[in-house]
Amino acid sequence: MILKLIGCILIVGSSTIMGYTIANKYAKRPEELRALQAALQMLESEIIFSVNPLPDAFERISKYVPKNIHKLFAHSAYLLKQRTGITAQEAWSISVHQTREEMHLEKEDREILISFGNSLGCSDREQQLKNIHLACSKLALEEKKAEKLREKNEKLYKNLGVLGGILVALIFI
Amino acid sequence: MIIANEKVIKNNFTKNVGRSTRDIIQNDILLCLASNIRNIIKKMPYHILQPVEEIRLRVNKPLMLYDNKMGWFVTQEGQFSEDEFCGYMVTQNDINQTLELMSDSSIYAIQEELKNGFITIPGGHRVGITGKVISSNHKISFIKDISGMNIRISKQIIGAADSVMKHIIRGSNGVNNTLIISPPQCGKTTMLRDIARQLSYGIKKPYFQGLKVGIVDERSEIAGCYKGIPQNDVGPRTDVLDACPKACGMVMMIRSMSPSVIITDEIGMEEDIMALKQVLNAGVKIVTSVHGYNRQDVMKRPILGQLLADNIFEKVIVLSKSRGTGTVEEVFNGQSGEAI
Repeated sequence: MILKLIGCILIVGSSTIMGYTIANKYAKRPEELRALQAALQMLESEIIFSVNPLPDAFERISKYVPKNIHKLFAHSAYLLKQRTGITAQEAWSISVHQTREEMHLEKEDREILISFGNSLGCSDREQQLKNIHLACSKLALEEKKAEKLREKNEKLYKNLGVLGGILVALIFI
Repeated sequence: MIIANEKVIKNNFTKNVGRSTRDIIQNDILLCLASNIRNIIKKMPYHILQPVEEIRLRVNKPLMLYDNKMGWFVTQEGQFSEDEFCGYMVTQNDINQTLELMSDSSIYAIQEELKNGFITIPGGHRVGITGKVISSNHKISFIKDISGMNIRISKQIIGAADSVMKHIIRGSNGVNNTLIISPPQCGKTTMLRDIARQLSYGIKKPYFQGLKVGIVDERSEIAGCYKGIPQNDVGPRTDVLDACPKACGMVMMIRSMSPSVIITDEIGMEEDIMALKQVLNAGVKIVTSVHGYNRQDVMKRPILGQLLADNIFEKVIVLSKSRGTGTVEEVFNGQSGEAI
């Protein structure tokens, strides 16, 4: 009996965790998209008002952004500061790929970031500004979609995890 | 009191002092070059690179290195060649990549400098740029489609002005208004830089007290500023206005920094002369240079000729290349015209 009870608790526990992890992904994505937009806005002021070069701009931004997107900027800054002949575009896309696991972005979000990186740093201020605005508006669109998905799925997966676990446990008993 | 030329002084803040060409190429120049060109230059032994003064990149033309006399084409294997067909062909991509690396991947940050046709990279090296100029209202608004680059390796030569200092200083704290006449590439900027350094540190023998020196560095060549900080040693009592137009820079300097001497490069415009007179009226001494081959050549030019006729300069130094870069051809008294 005790064994059965422990087994049931384990099943319910693990399925709950599973449910919460999936729900978490839906909850985190809009958060990160919002943080990214804020960060791009910071980049805009770094470029337009302070006219800081990208390695410095990225480093400064990385200090002020939330933890989950910190590495994206910190790693780009690190790569550029090494001065190994890497361009801003390369450094950015490497960082986007490297932070794939830690961030909760979907493929289309990453594509926006990478296409944003393609004209990063290699044109005058006006073009940079346009590029940032474009990326921001695309990210805002994704954020809306992500928000809708979150509303739909966050609760669903949380409940599904708990209830599914109980169901399985009941079947086994 | 700090005296120039003393071994004790090791100023770590100025990067260019006592550096070998190897060090300069490795730490300043290579970092800014596109990977293809970087790899070629890496293959070249350093004793060959020692006298190199310029690296030239032109789209679809061979890579070239120049010393103070002539230039060579450089092959894919990093060897010199006199035959242009053997040289490594520079591509548009190489130039774009180089520009991106020079600007720290931030072209927007150097767009103002690009308008002047040159940028300064860490180490104070100047890179001249040609391409398609976009202008609006008779002003250059941008250079796009960059097709040519001239990387000038700047080496500070400590003591370049030793032979002329005795003409420039007067007593232990006086300076003569001095004009340096020199054709391009004869070491006039190198000389001005060393004059600034020696006036600022002071000289031990004959004893000369260090003075406040103001450098108006329109082309970022004298002090070689990167992000506003001089990369060359121009002395402890020196203030630098980097990339500032000479005429307004000189006036700004006397208003705000109370220098004893103002040093500036390549005067020639009418407004420069006006500013120069203003400086002299304020009791500030001036050391400057003009492009020219000799006294007669400068006399013939309307604006500069007037300047010599006005007896503003107490000493005039003429440079040439006849016995190597920086040969002092003649020194004469600007007021009486007598040779010294």
